[in-house]
Amino acid sequence: MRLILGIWLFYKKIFVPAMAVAVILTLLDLLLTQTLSLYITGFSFIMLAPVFHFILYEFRNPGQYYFYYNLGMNKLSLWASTIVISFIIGIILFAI
Amino acid sequence: MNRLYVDSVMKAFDTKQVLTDVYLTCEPGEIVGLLGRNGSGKSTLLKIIFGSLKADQKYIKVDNTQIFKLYDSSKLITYLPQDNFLPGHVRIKTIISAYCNRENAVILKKLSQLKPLLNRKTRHLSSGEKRFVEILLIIHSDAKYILIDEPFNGVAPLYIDYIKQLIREQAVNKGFIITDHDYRNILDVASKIILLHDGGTREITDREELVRWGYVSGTVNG
Repeated sequence: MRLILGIWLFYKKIFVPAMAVAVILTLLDLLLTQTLSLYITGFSFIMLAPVFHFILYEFRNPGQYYFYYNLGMNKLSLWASTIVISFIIGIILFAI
Repeated sequence: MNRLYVDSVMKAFDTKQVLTDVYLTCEPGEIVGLLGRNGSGKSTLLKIIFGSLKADQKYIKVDNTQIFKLYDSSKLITYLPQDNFLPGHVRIKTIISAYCNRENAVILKKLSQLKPLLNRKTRHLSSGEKRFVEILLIIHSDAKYILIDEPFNGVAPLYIDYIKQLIREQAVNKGFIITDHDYRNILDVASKIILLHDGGTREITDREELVRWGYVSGTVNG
């Protein structure tokens, strides 16, 4: 249970900015093409989440990894969770 | 054997050999004070024991389980790094729930020093408040062995005695390895003193030995 809470806390920080930028890109696409495409949102999100992971954790706050290490996660599992969760959210957006 | 066993740790950064001959043990009920000059490898050693830093060579066992990497030490060892590590976007009460079992979470949430901070996000705390929260979390975590790097740095003097008292209380069931440049506090709280000198560890049995090894100058008081 605490592991899931840890992953949630880790991912929440990535989710908000990645989804915000994905929505902005979708709105830009809507303005250009006059059609709403959640495919753009999903694809952008899958691409952006690892980028924000890198910016927020590897670049800006590498010390915060210790918070998650102490919860039993390592860097590899945190990167894997970012990619897997982003992929699942992206697929859900494709399917809508 | 019920203990943390660290032996044959070697680590070099580029051409500088930082750790060459490290041996130390820590048992539940023991508070090991790790002293050493700047750059002697104290933090490096703690990170290697925890598993977040790769050693050139090491032999680490916890209760007969050999620790090879970070994942192996999960739930056995927690580590308080020198710098603040709490995520800024999370409230203190959520962090407490993530780190501590129910019993310890209740204890922490009832502390008068923490109550006003519970609903605040860590990014809104001062550095000293963050450090105080981090120390409380690590001390009350479920792990059997707790590694603490510079716990007294940036903490108000009022809280230092309180932290030492908490460490003594929690050390009944846990083993602690603590390092800090404020050696007087380490001497006060530790049940065993280890000095890191020239890459190796030496157990200190007499405070005057710290003078002889050149860690402090003159006579060591208190």
